[in-house]
Amino acid sequence: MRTVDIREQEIFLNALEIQSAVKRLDYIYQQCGTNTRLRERIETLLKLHENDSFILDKKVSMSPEGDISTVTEEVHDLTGVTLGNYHLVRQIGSGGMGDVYLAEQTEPIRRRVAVKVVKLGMDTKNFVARFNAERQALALMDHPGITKVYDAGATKTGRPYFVMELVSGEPITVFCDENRLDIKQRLSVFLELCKAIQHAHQKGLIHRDLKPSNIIVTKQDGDFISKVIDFGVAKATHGRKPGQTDLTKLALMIGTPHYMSPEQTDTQGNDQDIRTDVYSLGAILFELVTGTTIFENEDFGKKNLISIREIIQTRSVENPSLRVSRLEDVKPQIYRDRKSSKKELVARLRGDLDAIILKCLKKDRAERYSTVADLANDLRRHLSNQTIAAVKHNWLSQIRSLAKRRTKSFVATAAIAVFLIALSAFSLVSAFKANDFAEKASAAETLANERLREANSARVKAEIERLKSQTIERQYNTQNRRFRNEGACLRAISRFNKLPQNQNSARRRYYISHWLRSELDFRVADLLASSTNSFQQNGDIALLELILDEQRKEFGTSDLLIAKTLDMLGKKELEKRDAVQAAKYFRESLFIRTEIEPNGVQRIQTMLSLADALMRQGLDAEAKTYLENAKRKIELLPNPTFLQKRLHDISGN
Amino acid sequence: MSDVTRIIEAVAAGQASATDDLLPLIYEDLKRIANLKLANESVNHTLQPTALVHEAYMRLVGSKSDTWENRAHFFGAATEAMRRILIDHARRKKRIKRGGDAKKVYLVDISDPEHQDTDELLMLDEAISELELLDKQKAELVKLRFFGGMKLHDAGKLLGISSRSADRYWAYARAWLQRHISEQNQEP
Repeated sequence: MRTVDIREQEIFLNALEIQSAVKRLDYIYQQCGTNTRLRERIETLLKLHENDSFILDKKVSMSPEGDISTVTEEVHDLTGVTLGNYHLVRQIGSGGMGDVYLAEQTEPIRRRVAVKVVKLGMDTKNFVARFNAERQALALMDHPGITKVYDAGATKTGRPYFVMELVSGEPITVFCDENRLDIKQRLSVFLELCKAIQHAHQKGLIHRDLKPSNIIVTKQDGDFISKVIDFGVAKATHGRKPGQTDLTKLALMIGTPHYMSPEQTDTQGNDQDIRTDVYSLGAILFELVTGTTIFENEDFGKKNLISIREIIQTRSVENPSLRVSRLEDVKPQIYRDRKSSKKELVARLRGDLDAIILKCLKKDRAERYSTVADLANDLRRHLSNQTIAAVKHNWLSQIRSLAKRRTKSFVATAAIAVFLIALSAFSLVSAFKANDFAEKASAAETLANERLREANSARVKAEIERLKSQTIERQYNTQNRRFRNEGACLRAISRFNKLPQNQNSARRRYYISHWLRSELDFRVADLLASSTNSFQQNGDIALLELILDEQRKEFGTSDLLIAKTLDMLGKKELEKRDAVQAAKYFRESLFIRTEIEPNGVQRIQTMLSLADALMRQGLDAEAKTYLENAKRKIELLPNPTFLQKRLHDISGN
Repeated sequence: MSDVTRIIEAVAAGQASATDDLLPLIYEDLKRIANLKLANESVNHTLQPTALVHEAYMRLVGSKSDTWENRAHFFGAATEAMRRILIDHARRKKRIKRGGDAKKVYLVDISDPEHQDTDELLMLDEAISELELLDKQKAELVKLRFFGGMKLHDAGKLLGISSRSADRYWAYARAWLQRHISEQNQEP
């Protein structure tokens, strides 16, 4: 009987496992000896092994006209393959979007990473360009709850891949069930998740594909750690073509539309903001508490896209508590997993949680929470039995939550009230002595003052929150404009990318990062600045200081945004004639600017302001060095009129 | 219980042969769905055979008797059925285009890139048949994966070989098939 050449097969397969090309060749020569024909045939096999456009690796399809066409798809898994600096060790997961591998990175540092190889979709051509456009925004994200995306590229056959931080754990829903977390614990896991999403939103990134499998939770030293994966991936992977909706793409690439917001299914589809993520979070929370997806029994897989869209856009979601009460007792593990009985669970969800979850899932996003922070705050209010924002103007529920919060004192107060009313029927005033009154009045005054101060600082804090959410909203509007201009920007980027690799690469990087930063961060600074201008003189400084605090928390010590705030603070202090304080702010701003933009025009401005503040303190010598330095810089500017005038004003004083 | 499920269970119990009893049923069914789909769908629609096999499995066997053995027997038979449908489809196309000369299959018509895929597919099928004569197991592995849309390791399991062996066999078969095709093309 004829068989394949066993010897040839053995040498070929052994040779494949030898990584070094030289050693591999040595091995073949040694094995084949003088048998040149065998050696050549094996060499042919090895060469063909590298070929990645063989029909066997493609997906074949038939058309009604009888044509056979093929789509390149690496059906064989990539274990053992090296992509760039990453050696894929083994497959650790597989999903609608692609396969995930455990990989070893060798250069520039040795570490284990996760590599996600995306399925070859419809529009992966511009993937790398799009990813590079996103990279700056991704780099700004630094939160323990968000997995870092290190790198991206494309395989030889054009499949895009992402290199990510390696995380272990279970999808959030699986984790909560396996660990049998009760509702309160589930909410606290969810709140951690909200923090991470909030962070990303503040950096101007929307996830757009939040779903349980993208949220990995582990237990670490008794704490629940959640990690959001695939941030920025949805956007980079789904480039837009006019008229193409997320729905068509997601249906093909991702699969389950249970977490997809109505606006994502829109034919226009271009207009998405953070409230898209709020919707998905609501859908996840729904599932966490009820154990069922929002459109239960809806088998999307069997439906066409039009009817999927209709369901998402029009079918209202029932109250979570109603869902649980309707669940047949065939699913007792839902209660067991939540350490609860059906009755308890229904009662637990009815009211607040119903309202909070449904508010997230509103079809009209204007009716949803406008930020994730609002959602998280409402959940916290619910956990501390305060009135939630989702239930507005409902005095009964307010009293109910007040009663829950202070059951004991509530009963006592009610009893005292009744007693007092009864007592007032008698002559009651004489029961109090005059000095008691005075004492009480003074105590009341102190208390009132304290309350006033609290209220004031709360007002400022609220104002900050409002500004922040406004800012984020503005930022998104900006981003939306940016999305619309994406085509133009991508073309610009690809032009930069076409510049010779070695030449101008620093310039290219600068260009891209500058573009992104100017779009995102400076808008925030401007907005904060213009909002603060409307404030009263003194409130201004207080607010600016608060903003400064926030920015320091957000951006660290050196950031142009901080410099900008410092400049504004310095200006305010100068107006207040506190030159010492002003100089302090300007000095710090100058320090930051020198570090980040040594040749910026704004740096000259700050330099002049500092000189101004120093001169007002009589520190002329130090001021002079700054003035001279500024003068030299101004002379180099193409259009220095404004600065020259200022220089002149200050020097003249 | 459908006929297919009944036969699958008989096959599992050793009372029937997958090829003799299961193949005709699945073949008829797959062909019916394929024709129906190709006739009904829009012009640009294409049909992926491997997706079709999975769909047929869900319909004919379904989740109720979804066991590993049932799945294996089904895919074994469905792969062969799908291969026949696909190759028939390709051959018919070539007959229309080239006046029915089946021998011209090997001639790669470089000036006609539109039909290159069809040619490649037919050459691949020939090469697999050739491999089958020399090494039935490897050919079977390739078929389960290519025509049946099975994952390599699942296909290996069905044939009773380890994951590592499946990887090695695949690598060798893949290179061997390419070499065979190029040798065939070089012959006058």
